[in-house]
Amino acid sequence: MFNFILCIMANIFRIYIIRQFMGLFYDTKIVEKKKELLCYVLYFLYTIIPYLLFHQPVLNFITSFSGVLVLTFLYGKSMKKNIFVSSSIYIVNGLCDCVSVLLFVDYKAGSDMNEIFAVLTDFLFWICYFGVGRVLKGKEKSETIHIPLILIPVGSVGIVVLLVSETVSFPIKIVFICLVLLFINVWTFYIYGIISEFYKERYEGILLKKEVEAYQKQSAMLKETEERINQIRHDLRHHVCELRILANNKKYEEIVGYLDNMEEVTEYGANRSISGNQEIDSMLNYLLEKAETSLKVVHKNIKIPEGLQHSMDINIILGNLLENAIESAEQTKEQLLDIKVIYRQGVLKILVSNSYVGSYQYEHGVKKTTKKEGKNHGIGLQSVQKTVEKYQGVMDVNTKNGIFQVKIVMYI
Amino acid sequence: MRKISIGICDDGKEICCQMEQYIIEYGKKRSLALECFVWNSGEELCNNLKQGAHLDILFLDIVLMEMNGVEVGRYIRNYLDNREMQIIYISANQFYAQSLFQNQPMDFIIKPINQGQIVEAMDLAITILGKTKRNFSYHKGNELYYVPCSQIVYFTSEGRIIRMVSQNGEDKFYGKLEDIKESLSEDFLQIHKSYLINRRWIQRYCYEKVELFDGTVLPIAKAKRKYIRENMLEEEWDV
Repeated sequence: MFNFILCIMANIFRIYIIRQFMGLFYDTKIVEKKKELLCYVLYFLYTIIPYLLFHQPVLNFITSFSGVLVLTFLYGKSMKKNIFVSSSIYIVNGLCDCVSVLLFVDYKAGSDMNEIFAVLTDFLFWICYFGVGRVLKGKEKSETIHIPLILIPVGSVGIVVLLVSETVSFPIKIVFICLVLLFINVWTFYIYGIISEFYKERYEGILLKKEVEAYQKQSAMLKETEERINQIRHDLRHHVCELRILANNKKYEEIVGYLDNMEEVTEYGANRSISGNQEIDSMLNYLLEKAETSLKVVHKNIKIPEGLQHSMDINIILGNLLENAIESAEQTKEQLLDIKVIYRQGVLKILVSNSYVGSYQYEHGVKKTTKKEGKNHGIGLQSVQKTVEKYQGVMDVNTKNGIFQVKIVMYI
Repeated sequence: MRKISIGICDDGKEICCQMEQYIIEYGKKRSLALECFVWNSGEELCNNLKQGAHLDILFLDIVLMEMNGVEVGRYIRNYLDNREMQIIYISANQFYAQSLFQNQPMDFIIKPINQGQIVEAMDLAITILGKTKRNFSYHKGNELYYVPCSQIVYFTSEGRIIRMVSQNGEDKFYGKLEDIKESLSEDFLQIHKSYLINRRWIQRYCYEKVELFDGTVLPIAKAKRKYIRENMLEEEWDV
């Protein structure tokens, strides 16, 4: 009886691992959950029934391999890839089988001990999954698994091996322990999955909120610009009236004086528009004006074409960087800000550097910040990073001699 | 050694005079042998260039009477196939049309022009010219051939043979890319085991490929992509 339960459990676990493997090679989210579950239940029945009835290794091999191959068609249509994936999964599974058999000396096909081997195979298969996962998706943080977690299946393998090698005469006990171990394994990883999913969602939520904030700010800026233009239009009407009165009265010297005055005003305006790219200009003008009023030294060198695309994303980048830069430069004695935005040969390069106080440094993508709400600052840079990556770009952050510098290269 | 020849093309005669003055002063200050030529229209300039007039540096007004600065730039780059000339656009405002960037300008200066702007632009142009003014030599049989680096578009290796694509056509000779790399100017970039290209001829960089001015698309090797991207982070922030 225990043996039977163990057999079922071990198979369910094995199928769960196969499902996880699929996740490494395909985007499993495209398949409806119910449909997916149904397919796996069918696969389970398809493999377990012949297994229980016939106990034939060759038959077992044929059913489970063909089953995996059919399952791959749930996710992808490329025959080549599907054969490759299903055979890779099967080879790994088979190797784990061999290893688990090798761990025991007196293996007999079809004996009662069979189910214990199956459990052992599962643990090994599970460990392999982490190994393969690390190799394939090693760089994505959310996919990595903490080392101590791997110790659970590794430890389980150890326990089973020890038990089997010492007390061969009481398989029932071992079977029971195997069951418990299996349960602990499955449960731990299930919980782990839920927790990491939760953190991922929370993190993405924060990023999304930041992005929304950026868009809100931008629309506020546009509104402000619009109001300013209305103001200028109103002023202009007023100036025309004044000049006409002066001209009618032939007060030429006063007219010249008036015009000189007006020139100063327009010159101030001319300096403000920067690239001719309206969306980017409205953002830059707003922030640069803020910088010029609150900081002592502001250098800018902006050379981008009028029709540059993806201005929304460029604004997210520039907005975040400039806001951070102005805020931290304000707290310093030098109050220095330097911004360069250059486009050439399909590449947009951005450099923002500012003076800063404090001893924080940038290391491995995490910055220690002087701000109170420290996390937000980091998130700002992270959302910049995310946007830059969208364009296969790269971002480099440096701190040196009291200067905080961000450099970006992206393909537009 | 030849003098560095500088052209000014602007329809405002006074601006031309003033710029010429600044450039001559610059030459004295840096002790450089310069010669300066002035044109007031794009057509005249293009005609003279077509007849063989040589310019190293050109200050070019964007808004000219008939043929505008964009067209003149395109004529120089595409019709005359000259990518060596350093073009500095003179602009009345800070709006830069997309088409200007296709002519690979070295820089933009904004009116009213002051001495500082000229000095900065000239310094940079002369540094760049210094880098590009080199000849590449290769043996073919017993004969030695010379090509100015700036005219070479790219090299590609085909077994033991190197195929050189330049603006005057193609040539083949025995050699390895690794060996010729050192004798070339800094403009050359190895994007692939078998491609060595001149950056000046790149129209557009992408992460996995480059597009050249003549429409050729060449792949960037997987192993080189990150390196090339990081390199862009480090260099040419002033150009």
